[in-house]
Amino acid sequence: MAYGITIFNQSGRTTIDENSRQIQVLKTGTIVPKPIGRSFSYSLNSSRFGGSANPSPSPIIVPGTLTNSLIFFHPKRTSGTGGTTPVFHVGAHLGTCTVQWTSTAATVSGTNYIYASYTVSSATRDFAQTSAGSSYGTTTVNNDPLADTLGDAVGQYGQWASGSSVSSNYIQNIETTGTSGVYKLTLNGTWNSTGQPSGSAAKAITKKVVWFYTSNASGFVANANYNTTMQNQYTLEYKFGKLSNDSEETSGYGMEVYNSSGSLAFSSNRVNFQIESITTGDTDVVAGSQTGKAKSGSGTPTNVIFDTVDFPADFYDYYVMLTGAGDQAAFAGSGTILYSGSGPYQHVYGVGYGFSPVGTPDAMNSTMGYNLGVLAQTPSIGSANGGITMSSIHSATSASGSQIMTNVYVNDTWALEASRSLVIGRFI
Amino acid sequence: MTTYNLSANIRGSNVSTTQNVNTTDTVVVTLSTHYTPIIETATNASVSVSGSSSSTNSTVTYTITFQSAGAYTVVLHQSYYNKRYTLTGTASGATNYEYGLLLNDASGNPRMSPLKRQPRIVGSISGTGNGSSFYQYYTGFNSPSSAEWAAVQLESGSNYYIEQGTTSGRFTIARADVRTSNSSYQTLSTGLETYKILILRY
Repeated sequence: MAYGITIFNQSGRTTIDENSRQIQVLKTGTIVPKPIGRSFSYSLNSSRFGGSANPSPSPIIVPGTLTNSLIFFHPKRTSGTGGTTPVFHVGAHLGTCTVQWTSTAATVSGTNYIYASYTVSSATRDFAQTSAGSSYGTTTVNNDPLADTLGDAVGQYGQWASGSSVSSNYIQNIETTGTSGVYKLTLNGTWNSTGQPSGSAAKAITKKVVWFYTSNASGFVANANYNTTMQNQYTLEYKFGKLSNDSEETSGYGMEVYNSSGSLAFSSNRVNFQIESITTGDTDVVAGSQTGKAKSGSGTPTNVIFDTVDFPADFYDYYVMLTGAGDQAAFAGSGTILYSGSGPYQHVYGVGYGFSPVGTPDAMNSTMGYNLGVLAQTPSIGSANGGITMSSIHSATSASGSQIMTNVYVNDTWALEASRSLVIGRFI
Repeated sequence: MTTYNLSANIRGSNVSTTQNVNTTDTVVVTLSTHYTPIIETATNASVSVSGSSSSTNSTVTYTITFQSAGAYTVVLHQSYYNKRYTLTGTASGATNYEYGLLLNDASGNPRMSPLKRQPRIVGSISGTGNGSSFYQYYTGFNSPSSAEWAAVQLESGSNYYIEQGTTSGRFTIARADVRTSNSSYQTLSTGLETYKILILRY
């Protein structure tokens, strides 16, 4: 090896070398996931979700580009003590929105900054079964002007590239100013005497968004004193990052490793997502021939991928990397599924994740594929372990959802491919 | 490298024990208990359990190792009668890194440890499939062992998934069983032909 450095861990496997790429965490936050209402009416316990009469999830902007961003999440107790330990269920939908900066003052020749305001469009889902209903939650986007567009291009051949020393202008830093809604953006180019006038719009930026949703019976609670049994407030903590080999740290200490192209392979100034396990399996739901049931038995996929963590006492340090989202399975058949109306209906499930802390040995089945009691193939993890599951038919509709009636069976399922890898790890 | 064998009965009462150790030592605790007590606290110590039980009047064994010099606490809790076993003490000796490179940031937070598996994200692949399964070639993949490599599909709604296999230099991007029924009750959309794959080595 003519460049870089190779380090081995205690198992003799390489920990870094010149080809490594790190995850650069750009945004961290918490949110209480809320139910997604389908096309049937169901009485939600609104107080669990903060008192809203119709709680529904809101999308959050994911920094990075559409192709290099990564999403990590886990449950987090944010207040309260004692109480019973709940199981947490969460699913995700992905989509996009558009962000645009507009200058609020003319640029100054010789500088590399611009003052601008920020607008965000509503969000649309990437992919969802239209028959699942339209009540997927709000499309008003949670956003962070200081983080969401870092590194994004705001001008190419016109727009904010005109009057600049570079043909493609990127945002390097974003700061608040003394004026509400106005931010100072530092770019990679320098303005010339032409620059940009006040009121000029930058190149529109398409951003990924994610909706985190949950079931009515899951462990996430917006109110610390929701009831006497559950005395804690549990939220979902997320980290959004991107694959990066750009060296932007200027701390002047630590260790950095570069590849042969001069790009950063490792920096000790960044947190690292330490993958503890990657579990693969087949989560496909096979069409059944019995009323209300999917096919089961020998040779049938177990539908649920799971693994226990190595350090259960530190269960709440573990994150899952989002590898599956959206609608992935459906009931359909010759009978009926009861909802607010009647008649043949399709019931759509999304891929989802379950977090089972220490002390919840059997709860992994409680809402996994809620109506698919026949798929009781998820092993108990034991009371001393903490486990994380992934299922293609993770019921994340409202509470008990619709009921499967006579002559209905799992008639067909659709692509369950992306839900076959469960990636668990910790940030250090 | 001493192994301390301790035992206690917490079926009907709380028990507290103190044991000072070296960081190279191991403590094995055999508990007479009910069911399998959970590890409620493990400070400066790692605890593993064996002989888990799902019945009353059980016997469960815990093996405890230590990470660095200083006080440690382990609390095991059986909820059947709400009793606890508390083990405290002081660990002396060198921090248990044994070998390798430890990197901390300016705040003293570990950023690399020889005790961890540091995944290397070595690349990503995206594209559009042709409607059937196909090989994807990636230099070095599955070499020297498939256990060191992983390919993870990230595209939401894609019809494709990964079959890693063990062949060096490639994996299979397999096409899922897309719906085939034409029932009038079904209005399922077909999936996407695009894929986005993350390549990891660890």
